[in-house]
Amino acid sequence: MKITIAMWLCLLVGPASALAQGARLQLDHLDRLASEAAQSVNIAIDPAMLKLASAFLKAEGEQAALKAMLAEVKGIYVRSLEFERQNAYTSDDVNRVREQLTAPGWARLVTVDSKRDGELVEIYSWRQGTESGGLAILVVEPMELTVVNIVGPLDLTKLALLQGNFGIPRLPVDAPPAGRED
Amino acid sequence: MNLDHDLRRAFTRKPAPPGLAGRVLARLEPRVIVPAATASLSPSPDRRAVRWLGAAAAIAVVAIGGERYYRQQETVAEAARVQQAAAARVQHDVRLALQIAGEKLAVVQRRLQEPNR
Repeated sequence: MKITIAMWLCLLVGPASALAQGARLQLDHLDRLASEAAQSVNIAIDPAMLKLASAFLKAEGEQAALKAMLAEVKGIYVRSLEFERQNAYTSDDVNRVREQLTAPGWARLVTVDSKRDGELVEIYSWRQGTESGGLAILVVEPMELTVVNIVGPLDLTKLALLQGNFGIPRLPVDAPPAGRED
Repeated sequence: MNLDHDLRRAFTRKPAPPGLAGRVLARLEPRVIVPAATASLSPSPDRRAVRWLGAAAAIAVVAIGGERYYRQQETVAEAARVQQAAAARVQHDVRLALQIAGEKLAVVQRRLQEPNR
């Protein structure tokens, strides 16, 4: 009887937690690679931290644009790992991220797969109806693995508004919906 | 007539009884007449101690209150400093995240703009 109840709970709670996760990707499995990386960046900014950061931003100039962006964003999560050798990470490490990006809600906007350079860049958008609810950028290179996950209504158009600031170049706002492969 | 007579006799000047002045002065001498103003400026030792204690208590209350207020202000200022430092750290992380995102998007842009390879 207890097992049956537990199974029903798993069936009911499992999908609910997946939905609650929304546009946020689980990247914890990449943490083990940080010790092997020559350079690693681990950024996890939750809504409370964003609110705190926003509170100390001025409402003028460059800071105003950032403040307006942070007002909508619900979280920023980045794992960037640069290695000194190839194959420091496994395909399973990459697949565990890509599996999450195949979940309903995620739509792939751009794929750049350069076989020559061994480089794969994918950009995904999380959709809530017709609105964007998040962004994910996956970069897989022989000696680098980077995942950027921005939770909240930030699409490429809004990111383009920040161009010229924070090292963001002019962006392909009208990016083709499907990927392009070399 | 009797009334007139009685009044005249009552108002007739009579010499004071002998020794009256001496007796009056003798009764006055032991007394020390203290002016009222002097009396208020020189309280009894007990009242003086009470006043000193009151003043000391007031100074102590002001000193303790001031010290507590200063400490509270310092705590508030320290909390604000810590909060500001945390905010600066988060802002740095946000900028770094956007920079990384921007760099990766630039790679995509560059690839998309390249002629067919």
